[in-house]
Amino acid sequence: MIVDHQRRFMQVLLDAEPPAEALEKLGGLPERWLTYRHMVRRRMQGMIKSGLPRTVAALGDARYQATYDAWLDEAPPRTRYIREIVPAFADFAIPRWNADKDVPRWVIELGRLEAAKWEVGYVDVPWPEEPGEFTFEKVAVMNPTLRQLRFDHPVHKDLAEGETDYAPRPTAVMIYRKSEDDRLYTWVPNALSADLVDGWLAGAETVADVVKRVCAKHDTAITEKFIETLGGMLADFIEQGIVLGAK
Amino acid sequence: MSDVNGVGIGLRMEMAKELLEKKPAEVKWLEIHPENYMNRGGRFPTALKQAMEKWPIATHGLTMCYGRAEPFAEEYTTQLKQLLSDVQSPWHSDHLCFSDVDGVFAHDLLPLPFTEEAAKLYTRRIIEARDATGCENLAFENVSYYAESPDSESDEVTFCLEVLEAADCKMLLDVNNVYVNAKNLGFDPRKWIDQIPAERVVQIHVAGHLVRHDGFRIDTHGEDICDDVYDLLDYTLRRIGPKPVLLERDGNFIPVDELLEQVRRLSEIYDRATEGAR
Repeated sequence: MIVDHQRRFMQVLLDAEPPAEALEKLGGLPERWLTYRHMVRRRMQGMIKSGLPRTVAALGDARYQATYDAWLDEAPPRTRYIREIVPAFADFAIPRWNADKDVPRWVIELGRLEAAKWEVGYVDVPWPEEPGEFTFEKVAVMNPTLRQLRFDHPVHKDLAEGETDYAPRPTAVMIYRKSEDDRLYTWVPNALSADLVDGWLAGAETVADVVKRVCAKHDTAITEKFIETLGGMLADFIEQGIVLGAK
Repeated sequence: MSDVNGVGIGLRMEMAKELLEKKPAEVKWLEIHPENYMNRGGRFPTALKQAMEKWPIATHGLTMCYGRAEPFAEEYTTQLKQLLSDVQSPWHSDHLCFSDVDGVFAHDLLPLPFTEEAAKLYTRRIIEARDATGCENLAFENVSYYAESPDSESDEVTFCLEVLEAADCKMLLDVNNVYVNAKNLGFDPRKWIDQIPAERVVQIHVAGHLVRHDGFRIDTHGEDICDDVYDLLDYTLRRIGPKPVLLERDGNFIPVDELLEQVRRLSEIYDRATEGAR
């Protein structure tokens, strides 16, 4: 049966160790089937290293390779789009690294950051054709590619020369693509701005209601000076294509 | 007659910016892999739109692979049909092999043994894909293969002819793959090509390949084309007539100007070999 041939072939490619029985049943020269194993594993490895370069480097060869081999063995790719194996690998690897006390927390955060940046680069989302003019009295229309991630370390920055670890610092990172140039952008908001963005992304309250709720949470009075600062931030967000309008 | 003629190259993001800025006249058409544009936003579809303003497009799939054990997913064929219509591809090709089973994708081109059962499977899937996409000129590409199955009941070219007839389909003749297989397995590539009916061929691929230290050849698309493959292309074009030629370069990317030197050499071969037939 053809499908038996296909399953044996796939075992030789993806199992942690190529099964001797599968190789024997495929017949011919084992090293020729193993040539495919080498090619397949190298191709997917190349894609993952393109998507998660800093994470892979921070993990070190041995730990990364163990995770990669386990992923192929236990949760091999189920997508026809090779670009999607990067987030698929991250989804498999992050819980595994979380359970490994020898993996620094910031490395896991870095993996989440790189996987999100990779995905935002290609995610196919409809852009609102008429986002509406921005007003505080309506619900914000946000950039549909925008994602905001929260970390305990500023992993969006490269480690300073000579440093091997990040000092903890709560950090939010916004990742988005602009419609006009398709490039990937990041923005690091302060704690209050990050909460505002989360509120606007949720899309359940008006812009003003989110501001009131978040300011209360942060014990921040809505003064004239605050409104002036908020206005400046919103103008930047609108100019940068983070906020598109309101409806 | 299709606008896809002469020598083209693949639209690859690694060189798209330079290509789209220079818009070199030597390049007559572009080939795209649908998987790189389907379900995707961002710079890939933007680059494709820009490319379509200058060049005609032909599509060449990577993951439909007609050797799939299960029928194709309707969601995939529906989206593919839309893409083929959007880019007005004169034909669509994919590979005579398989790349997934039980929902797991290897992201490579994996050969099946040359058996009657495999021929029937390929035939069924090609017809199914033609029906699902509405593409009358559906073609398969002969692949490089590195392992020979003892289950095979015929040689590769006999097998290809059988599928061509049974599925009544077209062929994307990959000259480099014929050459790589000929060197690895020990047959005469010209005799192989002699058996292919010219009227079935819609397109030709040429590429560079890697020669390993043990002499074994791997179809990498990451090297320059070797002289033997240029010669085999010349031979092929003289035998089957003017069919569009695609230079595949998918790795070890080089500056566009260097790639264009190879395009010009291919164009000279194309013009010389097909003179009087065009």
